Amino acid sequence: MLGRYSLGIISLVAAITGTSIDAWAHDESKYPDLKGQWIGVGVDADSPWDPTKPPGRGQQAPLTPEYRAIFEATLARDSELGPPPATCIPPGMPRAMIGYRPMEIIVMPYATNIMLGEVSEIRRIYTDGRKWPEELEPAHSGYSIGTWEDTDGDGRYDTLVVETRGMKGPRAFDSSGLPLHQDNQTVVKERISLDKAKPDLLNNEITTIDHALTRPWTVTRTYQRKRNPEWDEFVCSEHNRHVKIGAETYAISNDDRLMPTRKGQPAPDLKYFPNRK
Amino acid sequence: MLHRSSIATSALAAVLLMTVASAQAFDDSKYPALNGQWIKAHPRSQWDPSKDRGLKQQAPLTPEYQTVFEANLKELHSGNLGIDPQVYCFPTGMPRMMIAYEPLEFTVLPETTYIRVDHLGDFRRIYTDGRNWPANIKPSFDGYSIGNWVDEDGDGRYDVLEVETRGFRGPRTMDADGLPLHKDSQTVVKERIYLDKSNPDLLHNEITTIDNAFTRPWTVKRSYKRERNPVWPDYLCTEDNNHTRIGREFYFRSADGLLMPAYKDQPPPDLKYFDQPAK
Repeated sequence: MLGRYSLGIISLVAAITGTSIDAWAHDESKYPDLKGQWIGVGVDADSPWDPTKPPGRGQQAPLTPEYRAIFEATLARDSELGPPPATCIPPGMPRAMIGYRPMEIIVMPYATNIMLGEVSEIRRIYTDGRKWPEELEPAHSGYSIGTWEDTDGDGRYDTLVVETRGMKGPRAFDSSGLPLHQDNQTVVKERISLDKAKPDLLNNEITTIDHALTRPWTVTRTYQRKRNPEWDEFVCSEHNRHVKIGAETYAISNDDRLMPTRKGQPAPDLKYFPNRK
Repeated sequence: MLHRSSIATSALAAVLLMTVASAQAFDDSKYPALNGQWIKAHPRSQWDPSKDRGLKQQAPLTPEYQTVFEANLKELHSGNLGIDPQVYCFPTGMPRMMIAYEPLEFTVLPETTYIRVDHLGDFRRIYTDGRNWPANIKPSFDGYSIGNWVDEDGDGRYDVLEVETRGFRGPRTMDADGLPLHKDSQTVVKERIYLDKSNPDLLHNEITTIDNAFTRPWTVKRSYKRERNPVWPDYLCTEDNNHTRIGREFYFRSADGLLMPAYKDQPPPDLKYFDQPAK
């Protein structure tokens, strides 16, 4: 049985700590530890959207007949001409969550920022209780609102539930060109949580709702943590050896001259150069 | 007079409080309120905001780099913007990113303070975890930063973030006029970042650049205004860029997407690899 002294101690500590906790606006212990560097498991430039299935038609994406035809045309074109040259345009959502490059997740009580190394994109997931704006300025990463959940009732948040809208296009699910609808009315829902058995593994259950699809399409992607990382700098425009002129994309040769990206590609129109030959 | 029971209570409370404090990692009341969006407080974007641009910056350049600067200015005035790495969507780099052409975002955590600019993807991690300088630093445009929080006025709260940044690569310039840094990229940048004492929505940064293009360390003070209702623009240089670089030549892109000269009498690009003529 607690004596009077013990009760006095408890009361005093409660009073002191109660005051102190109120002064702390950000209690990190309430949130999962997401520090470090997160790398998509088994990811390369050609990784398919659903990592459990083969790429291309093997994805068995629930496309509408219209968008299946668009996808088939893309596959046929790429088969003949090769894949389109890489650009420095962000992949956008949801494709950005393939995790082509290491990510950093910064958790604050009002927002969780995800630094995506690809084209230095950032996702801001607002967790400050805000409502959806009446108008959204379309953005490659969209506009995200999130809520933390304590799904196991242990007093700590363990799952970040996110909804993202307001994306701009054109976008594809992955490098095969698996299309999203040109109306850009995509909604992406995510449940992001650390693996219960392996705290250096992060799972993201991603559901895409899009008019190119006959139903919501859910995949789970996984990222491996690297603690105390070295961060490599990737400057897309430094490595990009392609340039768009008019409707055509050309390559830049090793001797820094324009060159075609496919057989029979016409040279660019140089009509604005008075001294052209 | 305290009785034994009161003394025991106080002692135990102190021990418990320390235990509780160590379990809660981040007392953000100790740090200045820097989180959020900051916009440059100066109407113009030359490096030293207290002086006019160009030669009037009176940059302490060595004779060699004064010549480089004057040549850069001449190129710019002829219409060749290619000396500015931003034009072909390279990161602004340090120290120039602290001009804040687009809004800055500060995020303060105990081990790291992050500064991001939604402009060319500049992103700084200022490590405040007490680490030493690495033996080898991978060079980058934004460098490698180590910081230290200081409580200058002794009120129990940090008020100044002192930062040193090393480990650069180029090309970098101090501003859009091509004010040069040395090609050896041995720059060291030191900063003192603090809120204005009388206006908590004004942030100051005393930036000292030490570089072999200069005859002495060069210190400027830049300021930023807090935006309490931030909107983050989706700005992407590579998407909206009307400049194109092919090798060492820099061209404009016309409204119809075709190449145009960037300066008078600029030769067109060499088309020796094309069999097919233009459409």
